[in-house]
Amino acid sequence: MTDHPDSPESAGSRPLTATFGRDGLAAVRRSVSAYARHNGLREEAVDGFVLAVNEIASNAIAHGGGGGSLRLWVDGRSLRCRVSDHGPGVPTDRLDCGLPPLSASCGRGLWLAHQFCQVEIQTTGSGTTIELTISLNSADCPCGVTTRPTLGPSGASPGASLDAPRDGDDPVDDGLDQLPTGQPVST
Amino acid sequence: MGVSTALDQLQLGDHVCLPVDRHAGQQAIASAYVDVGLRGGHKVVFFADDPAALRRHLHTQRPSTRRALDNGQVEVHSAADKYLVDGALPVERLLADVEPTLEAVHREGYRGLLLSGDLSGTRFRSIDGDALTHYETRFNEHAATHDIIGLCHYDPCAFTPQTWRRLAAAHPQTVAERDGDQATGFRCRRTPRGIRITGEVDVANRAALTAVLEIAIGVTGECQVDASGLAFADGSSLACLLRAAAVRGERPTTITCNRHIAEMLEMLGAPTVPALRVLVAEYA
Repeated sequence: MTDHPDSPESAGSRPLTATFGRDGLAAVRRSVSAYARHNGLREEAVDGFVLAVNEIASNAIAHGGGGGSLRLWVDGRSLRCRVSDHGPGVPTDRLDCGLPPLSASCGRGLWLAHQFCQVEIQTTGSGTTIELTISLNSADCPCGVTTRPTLGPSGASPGASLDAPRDGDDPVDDGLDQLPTGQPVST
Repeated sequence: MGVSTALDQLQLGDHVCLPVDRHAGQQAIASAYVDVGLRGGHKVVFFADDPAALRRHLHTQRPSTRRALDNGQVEVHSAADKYLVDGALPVERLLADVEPTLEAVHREGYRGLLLSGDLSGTRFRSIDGDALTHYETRFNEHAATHDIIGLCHYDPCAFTPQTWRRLAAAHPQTVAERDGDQATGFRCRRTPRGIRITGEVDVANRAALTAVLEIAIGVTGECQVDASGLAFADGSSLACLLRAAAVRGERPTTITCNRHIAEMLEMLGAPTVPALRVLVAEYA
């Protein structure tokens, strides 16, 4: 994992950004876990959130070109993690997130992420961005229902890009490559 | 963890991949590896690309290393003689040699055996990468069962990226680039009624997990998988665990693990696996 900023303790709620490869998931998990705890994610939700990020990052490694980048930040009362890669995109039949049978060697990652977070997917032939959201409010359900009044029934505003700045985003360009705007995929 | 931390933390049963593109090769770590052996009362055997050069190097080290070389606690042999037969890796012979070698080591009065095999030299490029992966995968059962440490020196540049990933993933641990870097790693030890797994499993070492689960699959009667020290496992790794239990059919299997992993196993289908019981126990 490269491009570590300051430790979460010194960074407060500043966004965490990093790139990762196949050997970098342990570092991703440590950083995400520390950042989530530091920013108040309830203990019983940390393991699930870390797992969800790991699954999406693993997919980027396995199917998205060998690695990717992630951005983790606090958005109001939610914790968000965006994982991006420059792979060939998620096949349409993999977006239907049913749990595959035990005999399947892969295909569980998106389904598992859905069990712990809200998941938004944007995927094209030149890359995929998946954003995970979990509520920092212990009163909300574990899957983190967020209060985003602009969300339509598809899970995102029509024409919205996951890369568009929103409340809580660091206004400084974090240098992550901007993916072409694709059709948001319902979650 | 980097190489010096990895060496400090070695335990019997460890099977570690040491990529030479990130670290100095076998000779650079040889003295530290001997120290691990001397501290533990183990025999240390090097299979070196240039055994004469390694012996000369060890003779320049501290007195305890020189004494160990002179009295036979440290041995240096040719990696080519060990790992190359007619240009190929003699997999079955290598695996068959493990138990008799350990028996001899114990008869000599040592607790265990530390192996360092250097396959990073260009002479080994004739060996098929898949054959190496097959050997390293099967070595895991021996490492988990016997009083042995296997340290494997490879040059990633000798393989295609895909082959290298498979070869590295066949090892439970691969040493990270720098001290302070974190790498996914696990340990597995055979127990009287099954296996004990500690550490973390993800895509970087999942193939090694599949290999050690063969031990659990082969247990007659009830099998106990102690995963209470398993701090992290991704969905695919836990599916491997459930598949191993399923293969056992009506033979009872108990998996002991932390609460989060127990919940994951439940989500992924544990209730559908016959004769499987999952118990929650936090790592003590």
